[in-house]
Amino acid sequence: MTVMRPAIAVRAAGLGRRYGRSWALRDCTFDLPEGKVAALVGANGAGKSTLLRLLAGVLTPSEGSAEVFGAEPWLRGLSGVGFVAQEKPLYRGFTVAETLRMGRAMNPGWDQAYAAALVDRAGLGMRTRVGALSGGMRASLALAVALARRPRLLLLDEPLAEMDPIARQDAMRTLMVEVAETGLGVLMSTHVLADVDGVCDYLLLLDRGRVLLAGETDDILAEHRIVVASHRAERTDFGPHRVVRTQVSERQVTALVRRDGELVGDGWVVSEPTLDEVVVGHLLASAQSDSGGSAESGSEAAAQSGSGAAA
Amino acid sequence: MIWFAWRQQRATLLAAIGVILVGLGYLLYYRFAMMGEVTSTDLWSRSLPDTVASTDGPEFRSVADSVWVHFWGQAQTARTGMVVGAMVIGVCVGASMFAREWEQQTYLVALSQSVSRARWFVTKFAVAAAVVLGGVVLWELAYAWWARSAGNWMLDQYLFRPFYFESQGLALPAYALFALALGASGGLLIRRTVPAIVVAAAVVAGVFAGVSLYLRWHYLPPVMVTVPWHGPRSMDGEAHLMDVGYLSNTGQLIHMGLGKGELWNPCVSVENVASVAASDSYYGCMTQRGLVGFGEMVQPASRFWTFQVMEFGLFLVLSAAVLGVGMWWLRKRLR
Repeated sequence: MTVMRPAIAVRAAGLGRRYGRSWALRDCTFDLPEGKVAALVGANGAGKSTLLRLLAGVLTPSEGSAEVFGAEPWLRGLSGVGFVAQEKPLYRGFTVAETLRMGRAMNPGWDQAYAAALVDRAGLGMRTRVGALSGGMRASLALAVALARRPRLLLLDEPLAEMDPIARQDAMRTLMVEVAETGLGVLMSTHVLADVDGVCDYLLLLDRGRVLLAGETDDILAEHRIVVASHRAERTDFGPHRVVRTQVSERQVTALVRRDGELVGDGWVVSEPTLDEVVVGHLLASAQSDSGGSAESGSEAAAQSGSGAAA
Repeated sequence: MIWFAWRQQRATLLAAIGVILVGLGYLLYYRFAMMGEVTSTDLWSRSLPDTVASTDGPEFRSVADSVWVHFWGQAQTARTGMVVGAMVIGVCVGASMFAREWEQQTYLVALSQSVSRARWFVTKFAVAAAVVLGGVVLWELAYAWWARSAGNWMLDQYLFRPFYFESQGLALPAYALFALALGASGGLLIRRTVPAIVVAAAVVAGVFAGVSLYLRWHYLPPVMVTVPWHGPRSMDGEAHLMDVGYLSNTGQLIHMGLGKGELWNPCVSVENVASVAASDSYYGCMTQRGLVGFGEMVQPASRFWTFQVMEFGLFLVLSAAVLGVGMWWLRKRLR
């Protein structure tokens, strides 16, 4: 049996975008295989929206390149890609029906029956004006417009932020049904990892414009370990394994480690971290390294001084 | 896509159509008011003249004059309103075309659909242009109908002057197109409606002033008309007089200003100084000194349509350039 390499949906190479003198995104390099549900995670201002806008073709890069299904997303209309911006912008004077008509007018593969079903499920009246919808309802409508294009990839910027818990669940269920039935790929930004935990199979972690982590969540989880070592044992000598971040308490050292092969040590308690622990560990390490040189020495300094911030 | 371009600009375009209808109402109202007065003063039975100048008889003259004078102001207002209105409507509709998409962030929706940026730009502009240009052409037709309903008195004078020239023919839609293009591209670059309106309006007003007060007279070199000393003034009232003076036998125009006195001062003698202009000896002396008569530099009325086409072409090129910048910005420089 031959192993097929999965097709690449998004390929970014050295992608960067500058606003004036400050870089919103810098040196962003990753491949996103087709059909993945990817979480784009990072603190506010990490560059999530900028990256999504670049991939959606509504923003041009200052440097580097990006390909979506093998073509640069800007300059021409997007085919096979749906995009919902963070503000969920829609024409406020349009009715729901007119919004769907707009989608039909501007997209050749538009599925009107599907759009109508999605709108109906979200409880939106066809004659309601968009301006009269609540934030969550507008988000549902924007998602319906993106989905009814029958895209192969959906770029969603904080899609669930304004939805109530039930709408959130419903939207995620709709997405997952699409993913399962059509092989739709999703790249969605969030800063609430719990929203996508257990759903996403790919993680892209951004921090202040740079990629900290990119890869399959399973691989990322398998690579990382939390090691609790007794304080008196070797302090920071984790051998070939890369220490992401350590926390030192009076009795023990807790370290998030990116392992290189088997991870065994005298008196170590090794456990698999949650995705949240990996993300938070990397973000905090990055924040520390910002004030103390490289990531490696930063975490060491934190380990030695014992001043690591609590996760 | 055309439906979307219309629907999305509907509020602005309906407002523009409202202004166009008010203007049309003004033109038609005064057309009928004038014809009512012409009928009530029984001007028809006295065979309506082509121009005020060709009327005969003091009685007719006074009746006709009262009608013309009464509506002269309205005609002037109509011309000014048409020209200023076409530019203002163009700038306002143009500026809100794209700037509002940025103000309300809806460009994120429009630009991320399957439709290309170029098609989005062109369709939106074309729909707006069809409404605005159609509207100003209706104005022109109504104005011409009014103006020609009782002789040509409203049209045949000052053909090339500001507001007279632009309120007829190809010039008015050309100005509207230019204003629309400036508003659209300005809105795209500035991304805010009101500043885009201000900038585009300032540029349109500047170009209008430059073209109507200066450039238009230089589309073609003016024609020199020689008027003999005793001959009738050959210049027709419709032509535009650019310069006047004495004409030398070498074909040079010599202004009657200061500093040129050495030419004709010797001709001004004690005996003919009382009635200089009428004196044969004076003109004879002038002829001896190499002046053959009066010269008038004019743009003849027959060039009216040539100039209309040239001005239309000029504004077509300007509009295309402005739209090209907007399109380039949208495709290459969009942030």
